[in-house]
Amino acid sequence: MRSFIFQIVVYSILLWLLNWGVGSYLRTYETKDLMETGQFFPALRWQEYYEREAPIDLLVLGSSHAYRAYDPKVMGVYLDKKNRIFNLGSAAQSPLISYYILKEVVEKQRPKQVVMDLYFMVFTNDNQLRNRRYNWGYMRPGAAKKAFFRDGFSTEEKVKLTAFPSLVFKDYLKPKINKLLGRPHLLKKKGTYQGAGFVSNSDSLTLEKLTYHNQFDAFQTERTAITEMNLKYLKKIKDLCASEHIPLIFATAPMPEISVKKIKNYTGFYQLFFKLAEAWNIPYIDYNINRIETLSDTDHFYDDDHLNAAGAQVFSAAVTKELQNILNPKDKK
Amino acid sequence: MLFNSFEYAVFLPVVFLLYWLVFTQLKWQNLFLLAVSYLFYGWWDYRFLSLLIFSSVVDFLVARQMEKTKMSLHRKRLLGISLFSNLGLLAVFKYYNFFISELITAFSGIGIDLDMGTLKVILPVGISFYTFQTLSYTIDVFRKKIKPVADWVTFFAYVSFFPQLVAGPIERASNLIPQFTKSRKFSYDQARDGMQQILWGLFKKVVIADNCAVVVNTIFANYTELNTISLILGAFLFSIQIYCDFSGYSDIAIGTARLFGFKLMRNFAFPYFSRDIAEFWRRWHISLSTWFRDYLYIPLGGSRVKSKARLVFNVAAIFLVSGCWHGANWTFIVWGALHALYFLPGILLGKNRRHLDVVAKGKVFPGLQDLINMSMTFFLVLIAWIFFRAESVSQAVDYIVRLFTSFDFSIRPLGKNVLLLFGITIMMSIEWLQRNKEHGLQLAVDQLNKPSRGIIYLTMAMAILLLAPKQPSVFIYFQF
Repeated sequence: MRSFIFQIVVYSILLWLLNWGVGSYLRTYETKDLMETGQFFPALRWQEYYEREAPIDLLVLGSSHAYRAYDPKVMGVYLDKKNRIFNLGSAAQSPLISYYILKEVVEKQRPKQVVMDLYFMVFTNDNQLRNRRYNWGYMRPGAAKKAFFRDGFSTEEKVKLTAFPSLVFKDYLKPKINKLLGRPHLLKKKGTYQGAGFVSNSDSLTLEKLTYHNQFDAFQTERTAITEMNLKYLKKIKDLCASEHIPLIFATAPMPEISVKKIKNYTGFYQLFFKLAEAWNIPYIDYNINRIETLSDTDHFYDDDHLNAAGAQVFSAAVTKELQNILNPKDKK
Repeated sequence: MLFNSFEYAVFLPVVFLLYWLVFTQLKWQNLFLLAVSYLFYGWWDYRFLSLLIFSSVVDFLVARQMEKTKMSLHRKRLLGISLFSNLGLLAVFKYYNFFISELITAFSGIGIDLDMGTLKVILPVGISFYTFQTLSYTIDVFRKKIKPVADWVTFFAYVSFFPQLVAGPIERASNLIPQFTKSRKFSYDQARDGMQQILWGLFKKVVIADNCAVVVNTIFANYTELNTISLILGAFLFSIQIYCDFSGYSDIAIGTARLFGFKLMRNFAFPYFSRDIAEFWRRWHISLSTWFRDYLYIPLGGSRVKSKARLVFNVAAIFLVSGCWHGANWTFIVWGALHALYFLPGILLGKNRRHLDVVAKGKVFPGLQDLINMSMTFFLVLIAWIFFRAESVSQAVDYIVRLFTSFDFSIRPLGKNVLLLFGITIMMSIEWLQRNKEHGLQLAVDQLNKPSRGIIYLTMAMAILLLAPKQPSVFIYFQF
């Protein structure tokens, strides 16, 4: 019995060490391969955030819809707050992730305004480990990161994150093998990091692609519902902003009109957000409902979901004007 | 609790240590096994524990009463109670909705609208397995093959023994109950063999079956738009998936039982190396096929009946019932019927027991005749698996028709899955080399030295960690 347990312990230690070595090597796909080519946006965003000295006046939170739509440079020009706007949106960022990002920010400073982009899809599931890790992994040690780890991950995920890097980074096995074999190993570039958290993409798409190869045709959004956990964290964001006296604004960046029409029950999601915002006395503008006339499906979107660089410019200008109206109602003409 | 889950990775070592280090007396070990087995089952849905307990109580009491009476009629009535209770559970939870919907469809065909509601129930995991296990006990007591168990803990632990509770092997009371009543001593060799079998089972399930599932699901969902090679690939990969999924589960179950000092019956004996269908059925899901043989086929007269028609009936009955056992769907019934058709020529010509030994015994490679026979058998089994996997019989037929009529042989789909095919080749090669052993990773101490064995174990464990698909899938046989 003792000999058997001893062997199991020895093999477990060897396996753990092997997993640690392999996992650490795979992690370099993020920290080196993708970073060096400017493709790993979460790390670039956090790196810039920690290196910047200027305080943040306006903070943008939300999913890829946020970091591809709210261009801090354009918004800075209109708000006369150059270099004081930062976009901490990230892929599939759920309210849970947004909450801990906001906690991390308010630990050091107090933004004058927070814009939270509400994309209904991220509210319909309790999001995957990868999207939470992208932010948690690159946040600096501190109270917010600690709380994020404690409340934002299941026990199984905590074990994976702390002891099994090979499980966490196993998606990078294929590109790493390709790299070792001298084959193309980098992801297809989905945009260029422009600084202050914003990512632009200059592609546009055809009407045919938008109409006949649209991802929303396959989604059964009429059967999906917003989860309790996401609503709970949205409320926590509201409460945190209130306790820190930071004005909070809800917005929804535009999607192609064709895509919106294909989303079953879009108005249902909108009404739910609208009622919440109304109950909490938070301004809310949904640009899929209140469309910007100059935005064109074929010129201003790079896929069936996101704005391209030109679209982001148009939208950022429009949303900034709206923000000015909200912040300074007297100036409203 | 799934064998390939985080919970089980914590559960197993804790239970193992407590079992050997704390509960050292037989009585306490059995009670502990009963408690952890209920925990294991209740983890999925504690409400269905009541069914497991109900089935155990009925069969425990029925068998005890059988012993007390010598009246044949009374014993038959008691057996009837057991059959009614266990098959009743199956009928309600597994077949009721199927029969009702079929009845409604049949009557609507002649213009009569039946107003019959279906039940909103989910199928309790493992119900087909543990009801058959308890049934075998009462039938054996009825036949006076075994004595009823006096100690309820022993019997309840036998019914609910967690390694094989939800997907077998369907153990016989004559094999497992004596192991609960004898004192168990820890054996290093047995435990090491158990760990090897668990590792092999996990490798087959997580690395091969779950990755096959990803491709198979896509192919079967879009088969109308795919070319011939894709359709062949889909059927081939499903054949591998179901084998690795189910035999992987059995390996983990048998290996886990070994850790606790139990020897469960073998459930798979490298079935894809069979040279005819009869051999396939001696090697595939052995615990179920021998159950049907002992409790259905032989009571019907088996193959020792005088008329050929009766023999055909007996064979057809066993395969059709086997199809029904898998699920309430015509696809399973057609699957069973196809196997009956495959099986009948051999038994009618008296050639069903030609291949009782291991193929190409003592040789590295099979002879040409063996290779042809194995390929033909695999092809027949593969065609039947299409029915097993399809959503409906019409979908399966359409799939097969397209397989033989849409002659587009672009090999691009193979290129996309070259790594998976490579993994399958490795797995099948190992099984071929180990085909005269109990399982693929049964490595004797003298077969390989310690460092080599260590490298194999660690490589496989790393493969399990790294190559599992993002979403772990449940074992296919959980649904039965």
